[in-house]
Amino acid sequence: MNAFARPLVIEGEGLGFSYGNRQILQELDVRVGKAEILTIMGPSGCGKTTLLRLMVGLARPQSGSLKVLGEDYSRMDEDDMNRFRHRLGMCFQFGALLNSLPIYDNLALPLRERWKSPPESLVSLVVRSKLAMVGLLGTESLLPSELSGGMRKRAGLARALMLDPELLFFDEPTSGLDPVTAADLDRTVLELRRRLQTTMVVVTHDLASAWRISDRILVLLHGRIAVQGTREEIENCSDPEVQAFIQRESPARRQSLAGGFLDDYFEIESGT
Amino acid sequence: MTHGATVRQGAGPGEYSLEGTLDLEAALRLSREPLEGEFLRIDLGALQGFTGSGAAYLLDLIRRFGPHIRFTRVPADLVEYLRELPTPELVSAQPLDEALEEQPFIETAGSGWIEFVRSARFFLALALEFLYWAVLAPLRGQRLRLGRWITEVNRVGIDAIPIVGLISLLIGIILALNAASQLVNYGAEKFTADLVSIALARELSPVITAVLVAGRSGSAITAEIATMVVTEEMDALRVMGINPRAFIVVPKLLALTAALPVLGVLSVLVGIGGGFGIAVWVLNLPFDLYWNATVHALEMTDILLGVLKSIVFGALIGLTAATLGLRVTGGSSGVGKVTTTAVVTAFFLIIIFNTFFTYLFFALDF
Ligand SMILES: Nc1ncnc2c1ncn2[C@@H]1O[C@H](COP(=O)(O)OP(=O)(O)OP(=O)(O)O)[C@@H](O)[C@H]1O
Ligand SMILES: [Mg+2]
Repeated sequence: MNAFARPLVIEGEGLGFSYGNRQILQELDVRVGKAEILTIMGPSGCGKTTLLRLMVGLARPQSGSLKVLGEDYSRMDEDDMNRFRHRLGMCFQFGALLNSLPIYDNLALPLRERWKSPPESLVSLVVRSKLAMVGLLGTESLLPSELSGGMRKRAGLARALMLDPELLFFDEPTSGLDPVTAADLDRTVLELRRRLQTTMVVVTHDLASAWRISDRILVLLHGRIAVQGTREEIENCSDPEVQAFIQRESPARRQSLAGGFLDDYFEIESGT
Repeated sequence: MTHGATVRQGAGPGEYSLEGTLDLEAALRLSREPLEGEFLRIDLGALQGFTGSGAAYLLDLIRRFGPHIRFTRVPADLVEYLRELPTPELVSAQPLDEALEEQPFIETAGSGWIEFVRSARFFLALALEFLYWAVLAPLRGQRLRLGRWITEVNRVGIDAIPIVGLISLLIGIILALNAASQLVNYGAEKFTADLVSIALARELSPVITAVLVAGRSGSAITAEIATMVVTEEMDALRVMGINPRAFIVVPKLLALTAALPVLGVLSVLVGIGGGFGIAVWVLNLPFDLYWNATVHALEMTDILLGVLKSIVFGALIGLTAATLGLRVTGGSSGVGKVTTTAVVTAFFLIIIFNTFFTYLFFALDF
């Protein structure tokens, strides 16, 4: 299906970002259509989290323009931003639960802050149903420090779902999860899209999961988009680094296999 | 049995052979041994085994001797191992200095000032925002987070009572003993009561409580806020549309500004009690005389000035903690650093502002 037949939810053009004088992202054009699932892939440190942070407005691009759900962040002040963010959800790489609150209160927080004193009986139902979605029913009274890394992450997802966001961002949702739980999570993602038409941007290292859930994949290399498109488009991409990435081979290794560097110095023992 | 590799001089000039197991320990030892010759030929045929760090020694030799070195009879598994590495990059990369983690002096000094100015601006902005949240927001019907506030008051105020009480008692005793021993020279020991009560109410109690709270709670608040920044909890709040300063920082600031005056007054009372005990039981001053002198000496303004100071000190402690905590960089080591800085900065600000207030009240003749 063609994503651009739908209204655009994210429109980024020429996005650039740097920490000090280290350029992290440059000249990125990103578009995501309504109810589309876009995955962002790329080696560690290539700027995936940074790109997500730009899209949720936790960081501002130093160049280029960005519109999310039709809104231009650069024209919004902090209060506008806080009101707007009820339409977004984000799952952080390490969960980012509030450590001082039990899981129940962590999840109830967005509800309680959005609507002043909502009826507790409803809150508890919403909280429990979201916990059930991520398979964490029964952990309500535990503190985040009493959960495992993968459980914290799933609790983070449950919290991001509390306000039924139109747009969801995931930072490596499946890393640190066992394959069965990871597949469950993928099913949750697809289910969300089917039922609520939620648009999702997922950063992942998990190729299998990326093939399962995404409409389109964007491969980020050295702060630039190396390629974006459907599975076939990615698989047919001629860029050797992209190929190395999707075939799970380190480019460094390929390079040294190709180069004759070692032969200049090492004479292999003959006969053995 | 394997043993650390040794190097042995071969027949011709620049000919060597390595024998034994090339591990880290051997690599460290060998890299101190001089190898001489125009062109080095190193025979690895007698090598019994190697580790990754041992193989790095060979790359280091390539780095040092460039094209003037060659390894012969290299075991196949060693070559296989090296093929896995980006050897050209490894060899061409410059060695890093040990001083890498210590930043150049000039740069740090300069950026220190810039950082200071930025922090100061942040501090002032936060102070204004705090005034908004504490004064204007409730009038506009915005919610004050009473539950969170009570939790914080407990941690900052109630839990501090024992230590503040104990220290104040001791200060009262010290003051009374010192005052009496000086005043007795002028036959004025009955003024001990005046000195103790006024010094406590106007100066010592506000400063002592503030310093204790800065050490106890200022540090804890800084560490808590900084940790929340580092673990992305603050970002998570922002993504949920919650202003982290209103949600996390303001209740702590309100608790500090409410708890400090109360602790301060408590400290005055306990301190006077300590002085009283010394005066009556050690210095043998008459009970009524001391009591009447205290009641006479202490005016409402003294108490109020002390309370005013306490409120300001509470705000200073909270704003310092929040400023440094929210601006933390550099992971868990950054948390430790800002926590120390926050305590020292708070002490410093408390003393500076105390001097300023005392001078102001002196000039205004309060
Ligand atoms: N606070 C920061 N200050 C300076 N540089 C940073 C900071 N945060 C990230 N970087 C740098 O920005 C680059 C991109 O980081 P980012 O976190 O976006 O990577 P990533 O693609 O999410 O990696 P991973 O897959 O490991 O999570 C990295 O090279 C990192 O060193
Ligand atoms: Mg990341």
